[in-house]
Parts: sequence; structure tokens; C-alpha cells
Amino acid sequence: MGWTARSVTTVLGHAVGGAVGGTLAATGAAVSLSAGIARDLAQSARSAARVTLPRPAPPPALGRGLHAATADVRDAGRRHLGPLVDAALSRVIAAVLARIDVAALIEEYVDVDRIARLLDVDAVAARLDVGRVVDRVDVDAIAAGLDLDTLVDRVDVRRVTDRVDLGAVVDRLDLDAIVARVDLDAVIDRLDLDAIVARVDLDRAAARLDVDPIIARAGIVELARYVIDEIDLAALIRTSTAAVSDEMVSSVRAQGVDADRAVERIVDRLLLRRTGRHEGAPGGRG
Amino acid sequence: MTHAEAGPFPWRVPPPPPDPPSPRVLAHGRPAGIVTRGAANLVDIVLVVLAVGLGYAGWVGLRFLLAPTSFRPTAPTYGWVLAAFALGLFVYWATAWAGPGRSKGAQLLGLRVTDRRGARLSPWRAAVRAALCVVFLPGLLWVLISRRNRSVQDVLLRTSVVYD
Repeated sequence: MGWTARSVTTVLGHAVGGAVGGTLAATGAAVSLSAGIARDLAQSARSAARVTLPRPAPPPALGRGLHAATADVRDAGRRHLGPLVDAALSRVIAAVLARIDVAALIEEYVDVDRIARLLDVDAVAARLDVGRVVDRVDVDAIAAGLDLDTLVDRVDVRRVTDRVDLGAVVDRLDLDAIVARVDLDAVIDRLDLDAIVARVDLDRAAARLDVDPIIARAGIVELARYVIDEIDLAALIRTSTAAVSDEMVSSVRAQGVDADRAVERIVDRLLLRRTGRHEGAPGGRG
Repeated sequence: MTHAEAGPFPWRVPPPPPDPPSPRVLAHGRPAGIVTRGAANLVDIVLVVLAVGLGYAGWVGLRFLLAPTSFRPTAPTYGWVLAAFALGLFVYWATAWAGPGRSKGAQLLGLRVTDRRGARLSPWRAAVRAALCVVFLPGLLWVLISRRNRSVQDVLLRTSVVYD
């Protein structure tokens, strides 16, 4: 089989030298190999015919017969050896490819960048059925395999937020519905109101207060009157000596007036007067 | 609305209506009766008695201080006591009626002595009235009879005693 090894080496050399892809090169080499083998076999048959059928000056009729026999042999070899070569060819190619580092050959001899530049990626992309591709993608498996923590760590959140139109987002939000779902009591329970109030500058807030309307609404006069009534300020004042004396004087005077009236009525009755007193003409004699 | 109905703001309850005026206020400017005038005179008499007694005690004390060795307590005669009382009462009433228009007794009972126009008495009329009152104090009883509550002195001098 030395001819076979030489042919393979030659064919591979031609194939690699032609700057064809790995698989295409191997296929071309195999085709060339089969052609070479067929050619060698035909040549061997012719040699064998020459060996087995020497032609030392054959007569013309015999020459024609030999020529026909040769053609028959050649034709039989072409018919019967072709399938044999085809059957052996696949095994030979597999054995050859198993011994060759095709990737290294491509890496060494193939300018992939140049080939890539020749490719019309837009046309390829236009022909892609992206929907089918996506349908075949197992997104769940991809998501399960993602390390989201690492991804999030690598994301520049500030740049992302700078590009977000928060105004438009807020305009589309139904804040009423969101607030309705918020448990404000729980939020308030979690708040440290004392700490919040301690941070508030109450003096400054009070300085900005307009107290006049508050006083106007508070009803200071009514409040003062109520307080005075509740503490019975008049009674307190009456407990003083002067107030007591005034009250005594007023009482004495009122009782004196009443006593005068009573006496006058009695006297008038005794005098059988039908009209009351103080009805005489001014300046008249009493 | 009571305080209980006012809720948390009981001071918003409107104040209660003021008390009705007393008979004393309603009687302002009207002629005074026998009771108040008699009580006023009684107060004045008591005050004058006290004043005369204190005056006499002061006189006796002064005499003791001036001549303690020769001092002998003497009891004044009834005539002198009566005269001193009458004089004191006259002076007191005359000055009171000519000045503020009322003595302490009248002030206590809320009375004022005026003429028929309601003005203050002139000094001479006040003095005459004081003299008449001292000499004839029972003239006050005419107030019971008079329709305008005038005593004899008031009738004679055209004066009047009114509630102040």
C-alpha cells in the first residue's frame, strides 16, 4: 500500500494548499484519492495485460482481438473495481481524518478573518428565522445558569438610572392604587417618630407660624370667660374684705329698699290710699 | 347649650344672660322711705355719739397729760352732754349735706340729700336742715304720711332724700 500513502500525502498537500475548509478539503482529497486509485488500477490492468498477453508481432486479426480483449478487461475493471474502491474509500478517509489535527491545520493555514469579511452577515441575518431560533432556546435553563449576583455587580446602575426618564415612568404610575395597597399603619409602626421629631427644628417652624389666625380661631375671649367661670373668679374676689364689705353694703341697701316698700304699702293700706306713692306733682307739698 | 353639651370646647358656650337688675338699681333716684332714712339717721347718731365720747375722752386725757398731779376725773353734766351731742350732730350733718350730699349713714344705706331739682344743697339750706333735724328729729315720721316720702324738714326746705 505504499502508493496509497503517497497518494494520500499528495492529495492532502494539494487540498491544504488550496486553502479550502477542513471538511471540504478532506472530501476533495477523498475524491482525488478514488480517482487516483482507479487510474492506478487501470494502469496495473494494462500492465498485467501486457505481461500476460505479450504481442510479439501479432497478425492484424489477432491484434484486433487483443485490442478488444483489452477493452473488455478495462471495462470490467472499471465496472467491478469502482464499487470496491468506493467501499474502501470511506474507511480510508476516516482513518486519515483520525490521524490529522484538522483544527490545527485550519488555525495555521486558514485566514478565518478574511473569510469572515467575505461573508454578507446582513444577508445571513435576514434569512434567519429568529422566532424559530428563540423558540428553540431554553430560556429557563439559561436563566437558571446565570449568576445574577455577578451580573448585577457588573451593571453600572448609575448610568442606567441616568438614562431612565423617571418623569415618564412616574406619569404612568397609578400612585393612588399603590398607596391604597400600602399598610400605612405598619409603616408608621416601624418609624421612630421620636427620633424624627428630635431632628425637627421646632423653633424655626414655630417662627414661621402665623399665630394670628390660630388665635382668632381659638376663641380666646370665650376661653378666658370659661376659665373665669370655672375658677369662680367673682367668688374669689368676693372673699376679699373689701368685696365682702361691698356685698354687705349692697345687701343692706337692697334690704333697706325692700323694707321701705313694705312699710309704704302697709301705711298706704292703713290710710286707705288707692294710688301708690311718688305720683304727686314735682315740687308739690308732701 | 350647657358645658356638658359643648364637648371638648366648653368655653364656646355663650355666656348666660345677665341677672335682672335688683330693686335697689330700679329705685335709683326715687324718694327714700322711712326705714332707710331712719337707719341712716341712726347710724349717724351712733357715729356722733362715738365721736363725742372719743372727744370727751381725748379732752380728759389731755387734761391728765397737762396736769397729772392735779387731775381729777369729773363727770360731765347731762346738759353739756346733750349740747355736745346736738352740736356734733349739727356740724356733721351740715357739712355732710353741703359737701358730698350724704352722711356716712346715708352712704351706708345708699341715700343722698338733694333739693327739688336733684342738686346738692346750698350750705345755708344744709345748715338749716341740719338744725331742724337736730331740734325736731321726729319730723322724719312725716315720711310715712307723705306721698313723696318727705319729712317735715323736707317740706319746709323743699329738699328730698333719694336713693343714690
